Amino acid sequence: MNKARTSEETEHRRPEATIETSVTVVRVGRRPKLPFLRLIEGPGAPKKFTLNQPEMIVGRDEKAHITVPSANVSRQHALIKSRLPEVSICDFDSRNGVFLNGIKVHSAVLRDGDIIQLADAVFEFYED
Amino acid sequence: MPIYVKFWGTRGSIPTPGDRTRKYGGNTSCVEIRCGNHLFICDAGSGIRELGSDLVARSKAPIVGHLFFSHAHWDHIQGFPFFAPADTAGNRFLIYGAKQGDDRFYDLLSGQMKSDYFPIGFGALRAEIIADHLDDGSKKIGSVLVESFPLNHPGGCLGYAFSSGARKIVYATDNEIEVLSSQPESDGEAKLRIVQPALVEFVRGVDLLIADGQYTDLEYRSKKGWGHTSCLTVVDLAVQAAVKQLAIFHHDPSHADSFVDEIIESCRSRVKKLGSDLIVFAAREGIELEFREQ
Repeated sequence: MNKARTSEETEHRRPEATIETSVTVVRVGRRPKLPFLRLIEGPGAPKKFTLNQPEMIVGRDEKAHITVPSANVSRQHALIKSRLPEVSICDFDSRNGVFLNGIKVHSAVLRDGDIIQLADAVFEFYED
Repeated sequence: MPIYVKFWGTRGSIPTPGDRTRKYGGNTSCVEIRCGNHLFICDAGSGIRELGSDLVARSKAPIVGHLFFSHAHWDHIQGFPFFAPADTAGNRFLIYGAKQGDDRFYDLLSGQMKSDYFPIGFGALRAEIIADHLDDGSKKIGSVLVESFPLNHPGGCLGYAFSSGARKIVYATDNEIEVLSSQPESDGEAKLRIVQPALVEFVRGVDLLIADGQYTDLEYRSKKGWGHTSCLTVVDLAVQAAVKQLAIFHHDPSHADSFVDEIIESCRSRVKKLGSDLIVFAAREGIELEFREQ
């Protein structure tokens, strides 16, 4: 049976066998793990947000990549930049600021387990 | 005009890369301070290499920077030969001595690039590098007043204050704070360690004090005279001076991230016992703070 093969598949014919057979080898590639934020407190919690774009806006705005339905969160509150393996967060001139592990920051490179607070929304960052 | 402070290197003594130091970073001392168009760089430990790469990426116009050195021990100058903007024509860097005629830092920076130590000579760098000086310990650069203050470290050391409007940042690393008097602690109650009044005045009321807190009390007992301080003594200095935020800096190379976390917990516990609202945190590579006009 003819079957379209993906670039990850190669076919090996075995003419030496008594009954001609072929073996299809499929390379099982590991999908790269992506960092993510888990909303652990605040409106909408719990919820997981995979950081799958180079730049993602977190804010109250429905058009934000990560929407937090809270009046205390600015429409465009923070920008998450992913230049893997490095992920950073930058305050977008928000009203209530960005807090990293309890300290108000303008920007920061994120590390596994960091707690990020945007007003009443609290996230935990996971590198993968 | 807001002041921005970014940590590029927070480790003391020697670069310490690896998983154990990933959170707070393994690069040696380098802090960037920006106010308007003015760029100030405190120390050129190995962290200045990443700062240089970032400056090249974000700067379109020629880069002008003002470099202030606490002292010339290796971990504060070793990154300079790898500071890419110093090798770009059109850029200009001013290296400050404490007073007129004090070219010590300029001479030591050029000295570490002699051929015995490094393949590219200081004179071959394409940026303009100028020996400048504070005027008897202070100078106005743009809207920023820079002041220096002597610290207690073998061979001498300087702390620097950067003030703009009502905002003030102090960089004071490699400083063994002398405790003038302290009462024994009892029943879990902390007794404030009284420190040098002139140092208290230099840091009084600052928005951010970046200070050497390399040791625990226990470690300090066997390292007296090495020029560094117990983190709890730095807390007491900050409390006495009504500092708003304290960044514990110059992390010991033997301290893993988890140990730095424990140090910060002990500092916060002491702040609480002293009845203060001081904010304490560990200086960490990649963190940038903003201090807006009040």
